[in-house]
Amino acid sequence: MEGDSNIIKVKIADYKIGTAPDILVTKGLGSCVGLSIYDKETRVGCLAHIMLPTSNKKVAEKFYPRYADTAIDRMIEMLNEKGCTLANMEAKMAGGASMFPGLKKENKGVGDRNVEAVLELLQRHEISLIGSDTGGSYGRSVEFCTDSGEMSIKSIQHGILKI
Amino acid sequence: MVFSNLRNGQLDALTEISNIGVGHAATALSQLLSTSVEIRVPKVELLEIADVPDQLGGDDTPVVGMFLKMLGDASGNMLLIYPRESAERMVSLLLQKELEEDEIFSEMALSALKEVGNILASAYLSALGTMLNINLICSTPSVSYDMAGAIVDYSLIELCSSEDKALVVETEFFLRGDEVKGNFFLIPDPGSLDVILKAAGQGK
Repeated sequence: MEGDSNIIKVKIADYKIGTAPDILVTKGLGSCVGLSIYDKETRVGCLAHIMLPTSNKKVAEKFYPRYADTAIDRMIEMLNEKGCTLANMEAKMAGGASMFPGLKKENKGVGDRNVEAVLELLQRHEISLIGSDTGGSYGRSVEFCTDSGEMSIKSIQHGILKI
Repeated sequence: MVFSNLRNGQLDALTEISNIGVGHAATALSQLLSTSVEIRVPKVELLEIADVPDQLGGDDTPVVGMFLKMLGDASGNMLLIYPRESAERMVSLLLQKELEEDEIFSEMALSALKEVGNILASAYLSALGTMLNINLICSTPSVSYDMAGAIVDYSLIELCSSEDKALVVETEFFLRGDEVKGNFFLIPDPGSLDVILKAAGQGK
């Protein structure tokens, strides 16, 4: 299968959309969150590498993928443009770690805040979160397979986890 | 100060200031380990935030990373990144013994690494502070063995609430040929750049 698939790289603070059998990949998530929204009917998926919970103020469109709120809104729009419907969309997420637990107090746990924001926003849009692997103090890399809807999460200490 | 408005003269001044700072840090490291330390002339670069992890060796490359905050009259983040073998070699030089497998993750080894980080960062900041006549100190270091992208993302998160790009001062250093090599990064907060440039006589 992988031989025919197109691998699409998602950089930090970016999102990309793919259609089966594309594989969307984002690497080195620390306190950032990797969020996939997938329509299992059309087998179209979108993967984002989100850095912060909210934009607070109006931001330019090129910064939308940085923030959970603007990223999720735009991801839904992109999926709709590809013929997906909100009712079919399902989400998975990984990341939101505290890489240096000693600093957690100081940065108010930006990893935790990212995860909370994503949960709340998904609820608001009525998209169900069907899998997640968040927290801890280690980095993760994510591969999202648009063919199966499976998210494969790799870390140095814990190997590969599939959700 | 918006990073993209920096003039060439200001970038040169930053390179020169960093060069002196890193020179002092190298001397400190050299005395600590009783061996010669070589440094590259620092690179001062304005990078897209998304490209910073690649600069640190690739976003999922496992590295030993140390994080320190620059505090005082100017603030920012400092990172020391070593390939795992280099970190092991450095600790083995410090403790004067060969390390066993995974001993690099022992309390003793991590503490030795933090000590080196602390000495390097303090020497760097004290040279910078003396030269610019401002007060700079560093926080205690935090250390982690993980993907380069995951280690740097916290430093970038702080930046990205106000900035489009990251100003990165990078220096590579070597011990005994390239038996031990590491990279030192300074990522100043946008507001602090004005303080540094003004003190260096390169204000607006």
